[in-house]
Amino acid sequence: MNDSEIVAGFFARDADAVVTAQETYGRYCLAIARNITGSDEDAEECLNDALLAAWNSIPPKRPESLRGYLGKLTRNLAINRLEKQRAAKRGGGEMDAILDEVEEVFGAVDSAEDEAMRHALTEAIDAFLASLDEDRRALFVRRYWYAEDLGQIAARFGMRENTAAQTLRRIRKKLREYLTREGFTV
Amino acid sequence: MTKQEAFRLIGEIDGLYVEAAQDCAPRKRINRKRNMRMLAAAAACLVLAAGIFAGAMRYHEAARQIPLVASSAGVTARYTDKAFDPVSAGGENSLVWLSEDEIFTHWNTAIFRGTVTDVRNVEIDFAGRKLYRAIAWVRVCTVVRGPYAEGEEVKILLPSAAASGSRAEDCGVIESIRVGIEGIFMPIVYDDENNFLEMNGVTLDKRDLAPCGLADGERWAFFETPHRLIYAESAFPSLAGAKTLDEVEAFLREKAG
Repeated sequence: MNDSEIVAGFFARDADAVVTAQETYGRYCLAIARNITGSDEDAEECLNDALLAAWNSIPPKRPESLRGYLGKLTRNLAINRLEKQRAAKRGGGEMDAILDEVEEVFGAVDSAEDEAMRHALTEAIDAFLASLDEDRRALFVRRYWYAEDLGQIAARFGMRENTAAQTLRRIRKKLREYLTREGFTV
Repeated sequence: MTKQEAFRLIGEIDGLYVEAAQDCAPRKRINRKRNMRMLAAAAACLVLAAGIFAGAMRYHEAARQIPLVASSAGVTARYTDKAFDPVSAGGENSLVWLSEDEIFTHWNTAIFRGTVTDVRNVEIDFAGRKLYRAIAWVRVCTVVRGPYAEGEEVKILLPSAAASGSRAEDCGVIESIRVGIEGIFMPIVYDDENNFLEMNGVTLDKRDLAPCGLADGERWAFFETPHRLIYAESAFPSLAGAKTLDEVEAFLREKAG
């Protein structure tokens, strides 16, 4: 069953569509949630919450890529869970390192509560990513969108962990420079 | 901005990058064992061969990519070897009925005669939605009208992907196109008004692919084969009985004035 058929099932309020979505994209979403929360149990809950959120938002939404839509929902729910973990002094590990790296680039940027500011920043990041070659762009996304640890990334890109870390460091530096040139305070 | 806010912000990046990163295939790590000379030599050879192969593949892939200058972000185009049959190739067809006279005035068409030197299928990706077309290269030998010159090689965007394998000659006119065939072509010359093809929220400027293109696969091309003349007979009643491209050319010259 393809995306449009599954989405049509959501529109028809057919509960089987949720089962199909889980069978098709469950592993993908679980991997994202597990990377961020560091816990299989939390990841399962994020997946269930994401499927529920999709059920509640489709319709009216009609995502073109169901994988992308579920992935993004799962990612946001996993971040919520991570924040709760941190409040309860749990968590840590690789995700700490990823958040530190992200802070290294955006730490000094004003809090992007303003929608226009968020939009401008996202557009700037997109433009920066467009300027990278495909490998570096994928490396950045695997680390900072999928929250993969360096070992996974190194294996995926056929490089040593040190090389992956160095390449990411250079990308972050370039992104900082790019945002500065674009008028953001970093 | 807090760490979490920044991490959430990255969640808003273009979904295409996220999809592309998910689909990037795992690569094998190069194995380096320094203390085993033979193995090192073999590994070096392998690395060299892999490098050459990867370089060749990258060159091959780069050569397939068609640089799009005027199209919007989110559109990509590449040549493809994917084979199509006449049914699955699909395509756009102008359904506008035109009289024989209107065919010459409805659009700004060039008219020229020439030999097809190449035909390549093109995969156009409209932000994830793919469309297949073909580009034909035609070496011009006679110009009836239009901005092209004798001896020039003109690219023409075809309204569907070119079919593969042997073709029955009673298929649509454009499905008879192949390298080496002589024909007369009446492509629309793209300008700022007629150059866009929009799909899935992004826009292709057709001029990124070719300076001109056929409106449909029937009425805008004439081919001569050893067996017969192939053209849209119902659209050109005045050509009834014509057997050669010379007769077609004479008729087109008269119509084009």
